[in-house]
Amino acid sequence: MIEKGKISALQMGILMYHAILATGILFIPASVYDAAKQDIWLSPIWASPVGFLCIFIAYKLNKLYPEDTIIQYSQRILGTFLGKTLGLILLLMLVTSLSVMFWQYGEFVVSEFLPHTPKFVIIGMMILLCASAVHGGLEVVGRLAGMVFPIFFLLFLVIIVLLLPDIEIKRMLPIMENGMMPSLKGSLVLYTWFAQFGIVYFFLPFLTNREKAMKFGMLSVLVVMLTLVLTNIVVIWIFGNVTENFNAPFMSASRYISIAEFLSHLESLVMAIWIAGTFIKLCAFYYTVVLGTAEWLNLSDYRPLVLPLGLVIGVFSLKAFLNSSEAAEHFEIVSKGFMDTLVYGLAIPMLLLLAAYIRKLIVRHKGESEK
Amino acid sequence: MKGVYIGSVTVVVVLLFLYQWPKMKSNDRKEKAAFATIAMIGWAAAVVYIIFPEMTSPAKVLDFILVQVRNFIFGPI
Repeated sequence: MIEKGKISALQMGILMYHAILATGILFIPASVYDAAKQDIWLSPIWASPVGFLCIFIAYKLNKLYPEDTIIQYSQRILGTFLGKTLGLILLLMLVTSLSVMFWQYGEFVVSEFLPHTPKFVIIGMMILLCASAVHGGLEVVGRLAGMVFPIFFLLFLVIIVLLLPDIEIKRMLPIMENGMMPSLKGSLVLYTWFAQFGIVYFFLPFLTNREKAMKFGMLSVLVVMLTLVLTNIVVIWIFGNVTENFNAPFMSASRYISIAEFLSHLESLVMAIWIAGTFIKLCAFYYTVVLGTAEWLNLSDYRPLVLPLGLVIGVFSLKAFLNSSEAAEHFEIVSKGFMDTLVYGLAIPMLLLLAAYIRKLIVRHKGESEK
Repeated sequence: MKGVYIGSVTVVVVLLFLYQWPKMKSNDRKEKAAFATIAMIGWAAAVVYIIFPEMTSPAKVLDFILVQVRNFIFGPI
């Protein structure tokens, strides 16, 4: 095994929580609002089964091949050539996905906070920071996630509480005005986020208490769902029909907070927790790319690959989209519910699990016929 | 101006080599090959993007492929 470090199932759950939610907490309300209108708070509930399914499939595959990650067992299930091809497709998708995430991070920081800083400085600094964390291995990333989580959650709750004076509950009425369909259509966007739970297949072999992986994985999906429901419901209580005018409604909502004139400008708090969460998210995906590449090439150590892969990802992320209208086009495609995360998070593991079961059946059949 | 950009990307790649190369053991030939190849891919991509700034990106290519696959399976929307 390349990775020598171990993390606990709880740390994995927290890592996944950040890996899904970090970008979601800001962008989800506005992108779901197009389809779901005032029912956006229902959409995460409809989308969460995708997350449960991803965790379940990854767990089942891990039971069959407990010491391997997906790059290794895809070769054992499908044979060397097909397995390597599938692994390459998976890695290319992960690199692409990661480059889009870095672009999103850079674009958001430039547009909201540092308008005069060149984007390559912002993305480059983040890549250097993530590279140093990934260089430390999975243990470092896992512990960082565990360290950030309490602060993240506490500040998130503080902001929710401070927003309470401004809410107007009747803005979410009528609930399910046009039946369930609008909120179901809105949940298509969320599949993108929940399908990212699929990347646990890179972490499961390195758990100290693997029997609890399922429990904490499911718990992680549940907490992500509840956080999203809470965010969406607060956003809709505050903004109602104008939610779609904001790029990041939760951020704009926090600008509203002004208690006794001195407690204001809390968007910096949102930005702080968002940067911390995004850092963990980027580290988690960066780590999967590095580990996956090292395993794909059968190397004995993944550390030499951290910096060059960072360079590749940095170049691609700077040029992922030339401007925000191209990005809007990309997210329009995402909102129709057919997305790279669904392919690498759900479709590929599902195919592998099916192939593994068929393989098992054939082996058993052969064994019986030989008797 | 493009020359300056290409020069600075080359400096970054050289720095990567200077930092990482002494850390790898002399018998890790596979690691060295992988490191050099990926760094070269990164450098080549950067240079191509500097010369042709309007070129497409992996994200857009992947979107295109996925839309084609979706249209093939479910019919155009």
